[in-house]
Amino acid sequence: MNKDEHSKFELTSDNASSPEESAKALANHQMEAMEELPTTATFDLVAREELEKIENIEELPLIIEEEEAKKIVETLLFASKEPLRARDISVLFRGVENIDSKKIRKILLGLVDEYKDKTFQIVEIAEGFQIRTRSEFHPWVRKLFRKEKKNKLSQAALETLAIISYKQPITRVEVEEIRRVDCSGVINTLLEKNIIKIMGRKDVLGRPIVYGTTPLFLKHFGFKSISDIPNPDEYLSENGIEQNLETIQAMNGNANKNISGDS
Amino acid sequence: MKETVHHNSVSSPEIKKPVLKDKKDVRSQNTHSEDWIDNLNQEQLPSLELSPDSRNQPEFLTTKDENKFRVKLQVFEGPLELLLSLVREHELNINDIPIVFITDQYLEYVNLMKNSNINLASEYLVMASWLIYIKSRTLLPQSDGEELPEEDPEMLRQELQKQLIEYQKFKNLSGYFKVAEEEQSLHFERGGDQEIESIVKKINPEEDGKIILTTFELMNAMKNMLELEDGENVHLIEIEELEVADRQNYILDFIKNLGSEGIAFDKILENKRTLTIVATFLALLELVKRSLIVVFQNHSFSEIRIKKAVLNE
Repeated sequence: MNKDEHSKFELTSDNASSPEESAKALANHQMEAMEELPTTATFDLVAREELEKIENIEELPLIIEEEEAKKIVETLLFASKEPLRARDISVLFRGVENIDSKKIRKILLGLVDEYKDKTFQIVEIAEGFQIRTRSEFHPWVRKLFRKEKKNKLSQAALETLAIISYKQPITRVEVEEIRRVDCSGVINTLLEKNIIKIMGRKDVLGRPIVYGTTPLFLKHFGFKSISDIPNPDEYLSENGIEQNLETIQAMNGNANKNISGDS
Repeated sequence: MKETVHHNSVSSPEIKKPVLKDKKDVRSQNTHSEDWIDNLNQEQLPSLELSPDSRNQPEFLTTKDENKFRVKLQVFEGPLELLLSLVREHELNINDIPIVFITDQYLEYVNLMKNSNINLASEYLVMASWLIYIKSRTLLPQSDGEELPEEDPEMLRQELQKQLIEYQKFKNLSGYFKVAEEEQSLHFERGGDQEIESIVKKINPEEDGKIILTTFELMNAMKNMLELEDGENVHLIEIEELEVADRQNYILDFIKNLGSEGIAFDKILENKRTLTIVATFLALLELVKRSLIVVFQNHSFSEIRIKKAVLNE
């Protein structure tokens, strides 16, 4: 398929009169869109545009062996500091007939699995995939950076975030109704740290600002997407936390020795 | 409440030398990375061990009986957290809160905080007044069927419970966030989140406070200095002092030997810099004022010429 056809998918996804191949690609595309639909809230348009500029630089071969594609994806993950989304990578592969974003996602998930026994780990995080160090080596990395503590959020900030993340978009007053404490300071701090952002204004009297979470929030807590945030209703009892500890470990693919040792 | 206030041990103002015990029992334990799970499960209750008459008998308490006098106040995030901890401390059912009892407990705690010189955030007082209101509605005899919904003590109690439950959920969820944050902090992405330069400087802990420079960095600094010296980007700016008086002399000098035809104004300017033009023009006006020169035109719209006022012929 050529580039024009591809861009047609972007615009008219109900174009069924294309050749078989295109129809197939279309189906894939739609599936991909379905999959990633809930996560597009924090979609980074700028990055997408940048990628689209880059993709014209080199003529790619029409077919890339899957084994080769895997290596390319692995390389891209290594080179990137930030999490990469399957969709972003697929833009780079535009023009390659046999690699679409669904296949890339499959490759990524395969890599996550493959890296379970390696020095580094690949995790699905903040709507993308990222290569990073394993937790057991954190004392060494911390030594390298001479970093005593990671920027930990205060209890007030965590509570506020719990509310904002689950109820977003939400106004400051609505947060305060739950916490019964003035939250303006905490919210400003979270804004400065780029963990929350202003999402717009609520259409009520006074048009108050509504807040929501950023990709950095997802990364900070290791969530795959906003829909990954647990439901607070499950947290009425205290022991819900312990159960979810295990979930976190499972989520990160490897049991962390420090944590499992203590619990 | 502000987190900065007295963490664990708070002294009553009446008591001169409070005995502070268990310094360790502070939130700052969290710093140790292995402790966090224990902390999470620890009941974060205010431990209020205050002998009944302690506030009235400071002398007795400061002398001997250390065990009897121990005030440890926990820092709460707000009135709801305080209420929740009271609910837990007295093993109350969150869905069936005895309003009179909890109000008394709450007020006792708030009073204690007040007596302990803790700056009480206004939120605590708002909650206190609400609790007292609910309590008063509960204690007052009810007239049949005449109650407004917002005055019905049962409704008020339900509302309080609803708030407590809602807050409890998010407080617990924030506990989950804390765990998740801790787990994530053990992983590093490529390049960390610091600039390489600062890593290089920080990698040698022995040399804290000193500026550590490698030979290369020194050479680089020298090179930068030399580049500056090269003058590529450096201009010496000479301050030109132009005085109107100087320009007057200059003009007079210039037209000294001219005849009655004089000279065009723009001819007397040796350069066209703004400052020069301005100064010269001002000088010209000054000379005209003093009747030393004459400014004239031969006919309309012709060039403006200047000549001496008195021709020395």
